[in-house]
Amino acid sequence: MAKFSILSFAYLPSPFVVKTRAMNEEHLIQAAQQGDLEAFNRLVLSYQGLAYNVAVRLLNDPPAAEDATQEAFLSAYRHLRSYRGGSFKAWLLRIVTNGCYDELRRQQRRPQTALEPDNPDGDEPANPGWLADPGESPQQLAERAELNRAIQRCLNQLETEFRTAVVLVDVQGMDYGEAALVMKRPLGTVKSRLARARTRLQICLQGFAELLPERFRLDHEGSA
Amino acid sequence: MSTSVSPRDLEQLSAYLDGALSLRATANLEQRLKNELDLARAFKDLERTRALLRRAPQRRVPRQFTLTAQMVGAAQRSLSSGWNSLNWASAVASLLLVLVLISDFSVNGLPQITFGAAAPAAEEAPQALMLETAEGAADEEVLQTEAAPPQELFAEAERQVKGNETGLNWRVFLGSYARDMEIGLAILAMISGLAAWRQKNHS
Repeated sequence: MAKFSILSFAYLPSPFVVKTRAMNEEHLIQAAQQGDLEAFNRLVLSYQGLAYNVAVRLLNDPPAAEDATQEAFLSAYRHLRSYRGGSFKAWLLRIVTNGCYDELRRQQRRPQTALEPDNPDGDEPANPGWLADPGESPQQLAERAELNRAIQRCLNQLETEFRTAVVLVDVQGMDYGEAALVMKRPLGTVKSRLARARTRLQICLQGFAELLPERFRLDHEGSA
Repeated sequence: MSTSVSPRDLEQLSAYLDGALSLRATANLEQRLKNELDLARAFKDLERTRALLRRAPQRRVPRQFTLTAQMVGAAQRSLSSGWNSLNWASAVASLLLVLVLISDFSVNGLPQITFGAAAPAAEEAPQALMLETAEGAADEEVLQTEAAPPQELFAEAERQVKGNETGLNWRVFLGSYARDMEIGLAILAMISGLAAWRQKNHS
C-alpha cells in the first residue's frame, strides 16, 4: 500500500507537486504565525541553504554570512505577522539581503583586517572543505574551487545592488519578478542592473581565463 | 565582448536570454540576431557568462539555523521592552493631549454654557457688598449685613476678589499656552507612534 502511494506520487504531474508544496508551506506559515516554532523551523530547514548562500555571495565573509542568516531567521520569526501572503521566499530573502546591506554598511564604516588571511591573497584556500563532494575527484574539486574564486572576485567588484541582481537571478536561478520583490525595485530596474552586471562580469571573468580550467573558460572569439 | 553593441541592445539581449521579452520584441530581436553579426556574438558571450555563473558552486550550510525557544524568548523580551517603552511614550503623550484639549474647552467654551450665569454674579458680589456696607441700607438684609463688623465684610470681599483673580490667572495661563502644548503633545504623540510603528514593521 505504502509502495503504491509512493510510486503514484512520483508519477504525479509536476504542477500538482508544486501546488501541494505551496499548500504545505502556507499551512506551515499560518501555524508559525500563531506561534508554532516547530512549523517555523521546518520553513527554516527549507530555506536555510538558499538564505546562507545568498548571504555568502553578498558578504564574501562566511562567518558574517552565518550571523546574517541567523539574524534574518530570527527577524523573520519576530515579524511573521507582517507577512501578507505572496512569495514567502522573496519575503524571507528581502530580510536576508537587508541584513547583508546593513552589515556591508557597518563594514564600510569600520573596516576590519583579518589577522591571518586564508592565503596571501586573502582568498579562500584552493580546496575548501565546504566544496567537498564524495562523487568528485580531487581534480574536479580543485577546478570548482578555482571557478568559485574567480566568480566571487568578480562579484566583489560590483556595486551591491548589481551583485544582488546577479546572485539572485544567475547564481540562485530566481525569476525577474521574485528578484524585483527581494530588491524592492521595479522590474525594469532589475532587468537593466542585471544586464549591466552581466556585461561587467563577462569582462572580469575573461581576465581569469588563464586561471580557469578549460571547460570553464569563456570563448574569446569575437571579443574586443 | 563586442563593443559595437549599445547598452540598450545588451539589456534586450540579457532579457531575451531569460525569456523576459515581449513576443513582439522577441521577434524583432531574433530577426536582428540573424542579420547582425556583432549582436549575435554579444548574445553568445552573454549566454556563456550566464552559464558560468550558474555553475557557481553552492555552499553547504555550516550548521542548522533553526530557532530554539530560548532564542525566540530572548528576542521577544528585548523587542517587547523597546516596543512597550515606545507604546508608553505614545500613550502618555496622547493622554496629555486629551487632557489639554479638555481643559482648553472648559476654559474657552464651558463658562458660557455652565458657568455663564454664575460667573458675572460672583464678580459683581464684592462690589455690591462694599457699596451696601458704605451706604448702610435700612432693609432687613442690610440690617443683617450691618450687624457684621465692617472689617470682616472687607476681608470677605477681598477673599472673593482674590479667588476670582486666581481663577482668571489660571484661565489666562491655559488660554495662552494651551495651543502650544496641544501642538507639542500632538507632535510628540506622532513621533513616538511613528517610531513604534517603524520598529514593529522593520524587517
